[in-house]
Amino acid sequence: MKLVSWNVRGLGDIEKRREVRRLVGEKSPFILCIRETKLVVCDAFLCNSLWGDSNHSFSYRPSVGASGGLLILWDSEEVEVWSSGS
Amino acid sequence: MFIIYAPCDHRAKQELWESLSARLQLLVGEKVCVCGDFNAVRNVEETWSQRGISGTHDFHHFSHFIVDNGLVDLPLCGRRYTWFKRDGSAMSRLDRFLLSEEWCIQWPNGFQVALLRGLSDHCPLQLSVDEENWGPQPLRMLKCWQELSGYKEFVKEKW
Repeated sequence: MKLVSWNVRGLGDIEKRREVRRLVGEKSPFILCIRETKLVVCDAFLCNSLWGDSNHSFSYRPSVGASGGLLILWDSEEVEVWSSGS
Repeated sequence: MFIIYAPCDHRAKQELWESLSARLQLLVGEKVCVCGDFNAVRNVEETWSQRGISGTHDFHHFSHFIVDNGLVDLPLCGRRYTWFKRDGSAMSRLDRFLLSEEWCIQWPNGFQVALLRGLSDHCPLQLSVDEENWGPQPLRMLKCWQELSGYKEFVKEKW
């Protein structure tokens, strides 16, 4: 079981997204926690580009202006989420 | 599981420790993992700055938060710091995984590693729980091997 946590300092940049994708490919974490996405909205398209095609789910909290923003992705075959909040 | 992105402001951080502690109190006896960027360190060993260390009182509050909530703070493998200022003038261990005792009992042998830093000024932090990890493999040899000709050279070459 692997959990990865990363303050990525902005996910808007395509290179950053590639780096996350590489990390997911290399480590195959059960859960990936990304901080400081600097994104107001995270959608399925973005998450797919980060995680790849294997089964996954996500939850996010929007950035406040240009700072903050959390995104949590998980392998939905390994992790079952009962509830979430902030 | 809690994912934390702590504010830099001292007072706001203190409020965060308090509200988190209140939530953790409700989860005593549960398997809990608190991970994130705490924007705080526990002692001078965990931070370095060209300009010297300031704001020592912060160590105390963060350490109290960890100890009071009975959280296990695993040592960091791979490197000493997880955040690096762009110009290299400061670095700190701002990111960590904190685990409840029950988590550690359920998944023993956990270890956290700071991975290679890329485009961000923070390293990704990985918590691994490998139930099959029994530590480094022991080296075994038979004493009589030493008597074989070329043994020493063979070992030297392969080591």
